[in-house]
Amino acid sequence: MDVEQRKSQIEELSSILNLADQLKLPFLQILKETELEELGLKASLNNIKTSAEFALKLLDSYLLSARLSSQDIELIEEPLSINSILYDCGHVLDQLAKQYGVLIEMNSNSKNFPILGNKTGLESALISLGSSLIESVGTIQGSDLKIYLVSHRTRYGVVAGIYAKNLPASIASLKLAQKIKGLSQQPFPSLIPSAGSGVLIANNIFKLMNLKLYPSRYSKLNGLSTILKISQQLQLI
Amino acid sequence: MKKILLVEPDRVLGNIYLRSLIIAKNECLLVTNAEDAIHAIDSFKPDVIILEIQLVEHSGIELIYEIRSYREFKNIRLIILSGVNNDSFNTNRRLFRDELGVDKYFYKPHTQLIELNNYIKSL
Repeated sequence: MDVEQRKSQIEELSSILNLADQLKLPFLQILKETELEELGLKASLNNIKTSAEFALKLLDSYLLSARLSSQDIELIEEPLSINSILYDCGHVLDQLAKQYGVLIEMNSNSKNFPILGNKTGLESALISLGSSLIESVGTIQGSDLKIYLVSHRTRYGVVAGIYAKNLPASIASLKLAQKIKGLSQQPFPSLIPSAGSGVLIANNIFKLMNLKLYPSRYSKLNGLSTILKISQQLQLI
Repeated sequence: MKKILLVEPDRVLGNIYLRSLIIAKNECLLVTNAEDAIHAIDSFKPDVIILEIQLVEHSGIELIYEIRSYREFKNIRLIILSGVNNDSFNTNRRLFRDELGVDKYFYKPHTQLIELNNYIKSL
């Protein structure tokens, strides 16, 4: 076995270990919610449903990134509206956000510029990222818990990402988390109490779409975002 | 009735534990991070602290050291309720029990709500 093969095997194993650690959380939420019934309390079917649904979404995103890595499938770029993708992601994430008492706000300054990307890949990455950041914002005490789904135009392209107030994300912490995933049960100690699989899977999907996940700032908010190419073709229309 | 401070970073899980502790006739407060835990210990004055060691920014172990550094908090009973397997507790029993004064380490997946309530009742 050559070095590259061994490296890719280790990478795969660490991703699986990280995912296994992450999946403990929704299973625990479901298990403990059902145990409430034994104490004579009413379990919330809605909470159980949300926990199960987001565990499945995370698994789907992981499978997408694994299939992309093994070149089983390919994501074709097409002209898209980033605002409509963010709106759809917000709609999906809303259920989880409600469970955590977090509000979702859309903030678009990109005037609906058409971008080049793949809908399935972008939605999967942004939903994974969003679910981790909802969990992260949920650890902050207070009543004004909010995440912002943002798109805005820069000279490099259209920035699309998920932001919040006081989110302590940095390039160093992203790099470190990537290195220690699977070895540590909490690879983002300054950001997420659990395994933070959502961020790592999003990072991987973006990478496989030739995009990058960056920690960034926007209008006094901190977040994680990617830069998308503007579709020149549709701009002419 | 005991006054319990629950330090659980996952809000959803925290609310479930909170409900189960309240139904067992305890007075409870939930906080989601170490900084708020310190403020809450000061104002809420709990008899028991139940905490997860995987917190954001400061680990639960750091929080325990901080709590134990104050003379007036020395007698608060400490229970770890964590998603991290209790192997580390068993191998570092001396540190957890004797030095940090941790009463018990519960591994979340293996600890039923009723078991936790019974343990707290027995304190």
